[in-house]
Amino acid sequence: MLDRKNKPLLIFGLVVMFIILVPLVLVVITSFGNQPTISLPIKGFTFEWYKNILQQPDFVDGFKMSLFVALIASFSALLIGIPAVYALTRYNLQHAEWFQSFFLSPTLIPEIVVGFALYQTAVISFKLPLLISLLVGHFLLCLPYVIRLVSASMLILDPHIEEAAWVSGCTKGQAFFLVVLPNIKASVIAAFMMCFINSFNNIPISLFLNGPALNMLPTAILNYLQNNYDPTVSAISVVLMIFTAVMMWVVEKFLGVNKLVK
Amino acid sequence: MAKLEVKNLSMSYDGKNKILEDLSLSIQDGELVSILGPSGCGKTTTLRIIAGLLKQTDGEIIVGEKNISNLPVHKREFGMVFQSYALFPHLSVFNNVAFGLKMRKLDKKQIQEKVENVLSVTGLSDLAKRFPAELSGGQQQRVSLARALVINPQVLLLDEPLSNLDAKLRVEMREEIRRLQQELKMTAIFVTHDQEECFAISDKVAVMNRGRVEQFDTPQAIYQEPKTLFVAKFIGFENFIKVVGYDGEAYLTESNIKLAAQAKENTRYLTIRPRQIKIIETANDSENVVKGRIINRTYLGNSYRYTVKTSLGVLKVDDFEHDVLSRDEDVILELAVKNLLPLEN
Repeated sequence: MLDRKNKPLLIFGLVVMFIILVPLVLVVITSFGNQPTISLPIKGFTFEWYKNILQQPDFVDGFKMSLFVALIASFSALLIGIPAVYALTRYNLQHAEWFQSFFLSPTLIPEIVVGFALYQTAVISFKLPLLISLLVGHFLLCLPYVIRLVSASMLILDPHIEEAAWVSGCTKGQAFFLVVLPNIKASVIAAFMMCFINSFNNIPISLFLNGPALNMLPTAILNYLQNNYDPTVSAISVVLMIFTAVMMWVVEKFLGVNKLVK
Repeated sequence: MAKLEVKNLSMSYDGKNKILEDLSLSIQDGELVSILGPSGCGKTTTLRIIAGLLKQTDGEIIVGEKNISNLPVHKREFGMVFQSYALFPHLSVFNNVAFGLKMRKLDKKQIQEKVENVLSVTGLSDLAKRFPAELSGGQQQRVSLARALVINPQVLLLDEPLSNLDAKLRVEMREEIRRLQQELKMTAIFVTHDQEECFAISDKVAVMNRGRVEQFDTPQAIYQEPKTLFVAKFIGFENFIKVVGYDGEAYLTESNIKLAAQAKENTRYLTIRPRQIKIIETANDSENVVKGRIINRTYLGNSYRYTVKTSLGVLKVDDFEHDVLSRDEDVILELAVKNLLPLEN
């Protein structure tokens, strides 16, 4: 823990916090301003822009679609990623590093390129439905987080623990669910959060793979901003911040990351 | 609790390099047998094959009357203690110990009873609600032992269980292991690289080298009569005299000197402990006397260690009786026949 008596460090921390938080605070303030454009200082106070969010079908539909895509992409990344990590860390695979880098490679490629490549191959060449391509794109975005975070905690988990479970009478499957998973739970939850947030906020991939019925919230916001510079954008940003924070709180509360990380 | 028989075990990962070669061991019911050897000798591999964590290339494992060579690990009914303790970090001490019983679908009352019983035997009753991270190394090792014992295993397997503990605790724990093993009349295999540890607690010791058992005997027999050069070196013999033949009465050394010793086939070396070489005043007619010159002297506390250059080669001699001798002094050494042991290669 941070030693509270360490003043220089405390000041440094506060400065960093300040730099991070100030823009957010400004967004919150502008969302209540009554001028027709985003501006500071605000002259009056209004909830108008929050009401306006619900008047925009793009935002409402985009929110639902983004939520749907983020959940599917995150869960499928966990479903594929965790077994992959298990194999990479527990079996003496040939070329294990090669696989590791392969799974992490999406992070090296600019997302805009991933989006474009998927558009070119999945949509144009293979004529896959847009939604599938979009899900694949977001899955690729999520997978490296799962691999990175979960393999970090798999590597520090003593492999003898599993062996002890087998000797105690567990099949390999039982041992995974009874012994391995509970001990990597924190990293799985963290990976899920990273996946969800990154997918939910993603623009570059969604930009290439949206269509008439496929409207993602971040791209909807971007589109809206191109035509209107009113504080509705600030208002929806605030809503998203609250949504994310509440979600974190819920996950934290019911799955208890802190309880496990001692 | 049962007799364990390991027959002609072989192990190889690639078909060429043999990690174990034709290894056989027979462990009686209620016996504690140690497998002793340097790292890389195959002792842990042997234990892991017996546990079912590794699959042997060839050979059989028989517990009681039952051949378990192909039985998967979770059906073998063994208890195992790991070097790293391997406790389940997310479970309390109680639940760590109860784990194996839950897998066997015992009812709650029985589990409660058995776990409490084994916790009290291992002196852990007060710690039942703690988590592994809240325990000291010694306590963790006790939990690990309790977890292995609670299922009343056919055989208890211990993989260097003491090497992560500090010296004092190590002695305490090994006595504890021995006490429990004898109280419960448990058949046990104890893998270690520490000879003092294994001599202290074992009924029998198998000294391993390069995937083979070099000698399988009681600790006393191994200490007093090592059979091979490797075993002798491993348990602390320091003088080795190469021999090239036997003429019916005495061995002929490389340097053409005759040494009388117990006759034994395939003898390649003779060995003698430094403190069993006597420094004598005058050369008598008795056998096995050799002249030499002291080339080095070290003070060992209760004796002096002399390095003596002789026609048999350089010999180490520990002397408690005489006045201090100095470098370059000439001495006469006697290697008593009864103390000179023949060794195979």
